[in-house]
Amino acid sequence: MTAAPRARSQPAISSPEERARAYRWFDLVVAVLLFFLFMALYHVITILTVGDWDFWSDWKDSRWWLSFTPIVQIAMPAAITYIFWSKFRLPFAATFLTLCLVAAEWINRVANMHGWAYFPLNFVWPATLIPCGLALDTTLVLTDSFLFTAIAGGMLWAVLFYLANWPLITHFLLPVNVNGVLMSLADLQGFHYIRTGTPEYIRIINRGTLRTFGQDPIYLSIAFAGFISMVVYMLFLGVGWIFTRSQFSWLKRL
Amino acid sequence: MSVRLKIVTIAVLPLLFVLRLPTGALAHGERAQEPSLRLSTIQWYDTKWSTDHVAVNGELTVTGRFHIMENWPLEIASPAGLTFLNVGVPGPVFIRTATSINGVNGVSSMSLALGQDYEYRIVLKGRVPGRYHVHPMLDVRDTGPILGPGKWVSIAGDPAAFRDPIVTLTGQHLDLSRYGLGAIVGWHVVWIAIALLWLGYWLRKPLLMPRYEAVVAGEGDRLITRTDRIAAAVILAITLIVAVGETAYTSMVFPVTVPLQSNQTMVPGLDLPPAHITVRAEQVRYLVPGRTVQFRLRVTNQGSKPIRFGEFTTANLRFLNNAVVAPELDYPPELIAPAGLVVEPDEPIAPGETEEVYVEATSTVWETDRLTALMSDPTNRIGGLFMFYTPDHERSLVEFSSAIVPAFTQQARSSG
Repeated sequence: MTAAPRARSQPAISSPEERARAYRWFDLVVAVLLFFLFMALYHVITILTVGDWDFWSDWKDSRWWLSFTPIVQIAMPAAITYIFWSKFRLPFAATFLTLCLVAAEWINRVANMHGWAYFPLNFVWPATLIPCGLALDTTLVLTDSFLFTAIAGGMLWAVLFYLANWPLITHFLLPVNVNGVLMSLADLQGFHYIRTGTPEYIRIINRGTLRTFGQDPIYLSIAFAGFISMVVYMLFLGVGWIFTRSQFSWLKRL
Repeated sequence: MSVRLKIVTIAVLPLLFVLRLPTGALAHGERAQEPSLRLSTIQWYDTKWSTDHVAVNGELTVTGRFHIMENWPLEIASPAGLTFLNVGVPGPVFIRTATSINGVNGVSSMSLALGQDYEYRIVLKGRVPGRYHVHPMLDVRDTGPILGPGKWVSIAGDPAAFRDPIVTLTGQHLDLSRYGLGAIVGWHVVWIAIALLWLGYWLRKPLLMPRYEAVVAGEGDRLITRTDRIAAAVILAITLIVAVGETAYTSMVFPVTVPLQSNQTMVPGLDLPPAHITVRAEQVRYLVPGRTVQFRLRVTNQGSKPIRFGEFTTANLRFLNNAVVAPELDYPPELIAPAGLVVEPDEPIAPGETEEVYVEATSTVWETDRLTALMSDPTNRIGGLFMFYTPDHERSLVEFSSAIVPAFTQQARSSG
């Protein structure tokens, strides 16, 4: 008994049009996969680092929230930006990541914190980093330099975090008299909407004497956040660089 | 059994197991807290719930007192540091509209003194229909929550009808449960739209493979065109204009704001008359077979009226001497030991006299509330409050704290 003759293999792509179409499908599949991957990764990093400052309006203060959030959040966009830019000359990694993050956060807030845990959405709304991401990406295109992007983009990252988010919390900084105690609406939300595991004293807000240097620590917070964001951006470009080098494959496996 | 059948069985069995479990949490894990935390820290008493049925927007008031043990365990951080009067409920199914401790507003964290009694008041408002276990609770920094007694309370009605009306000091009337959400969502949508504009500009082009090939071929710099730079400049300009405009507009609409507030207050204890009673433990042991705590006490009445044992309370459990005190009808029955408190001799102790008294507190709750897990603790101590009554029903509270020794045989009972 003899085996049937095997058909000769044909190339899957036989024309430039087919190749272009295949490349577009590849782009689409990768984009969708990266969207979900970045949603998960960036969201987990946010929960683990920024945590309560992003969860509750009565944590969104002018000192820690405004300084801590930009500093820790610029790390992942920096690393991914290096990979996207050095390998593909694509300047949208930071915008893409911040969009993924905001999508993940809204899903979490609506389904989890509102749907399951009953917190009103106006108490658990997330901050947005999208303008910060736009500034990083566009600065990279305009300067064509990681160093200048770190300096200008890093500072804009922190300034825009304040400009885009402070107006949101401002709605909740109206003063209220609660049985003889002055509170902001955000404080009152924290008091009304019961968190059994997050008592008032756990909040880390505006503590210290930073007001000594002026009436409000906002501008110091932003300047500090901007400066440190520059440094963190450069550091995490290095992490991105490691991920593009074959000699560090052992580290990536680790 | 075929492989397919095995796979189906493995998949379905856990599902069936999950489905047969109760769907709701029954309480707050108060029994999970280690015994020393419940027996020797805060003793809650006189707890009252104004009702056990409220409508959405209806009010529930929880009142009562607690005693902070003077003999507070050294290994546990105490409320002399920082504490916050909280409510043990499953999240914001109620909202908390007011709290106070000894008349001091409880919106902020407090510092309380050891050995003192405090009177609290918690006002709640029904929000999400359901049946919930409602406890007063003290969150103690570096220790965690210490729960008071719990009672089941039902909320009925339409959750959509819930309102949380507030008047600000700037004269604005608003509903705090919904206020400001439109602006937050609106600005998020604006930023998402700008981001999609920028991403759309790049996603319409071939992305990964052609660009990677160009970069590898050393032509990466040609991939960023003059049009790309103009697009970037336009997007950056839009970003800055929208961000600055957003801030300027909001500052104009809200000229008066205050920063987040944080306050910490010291609250003095209640000014209660001194008890004039001393209780010294001769021996305290837990009889494991009988689920009984046996006390041999030496009680001295230094007051001017005869006294009798009325109640022993610890870890939110009440042992009542039925000859002296009757339980409140609306108090959660599961927190009152049916066998009560056995006192021998159950006679009044005259002023100036010292008596040796045998007291027995028997209940299955020692086991079911996992208080006997104490035996596996490194510190075997029991604490609580003894309540004495005069013939005209004046009450005196005496803090009690002692080492406790388990007895594992029935013989130990008879020899006790």
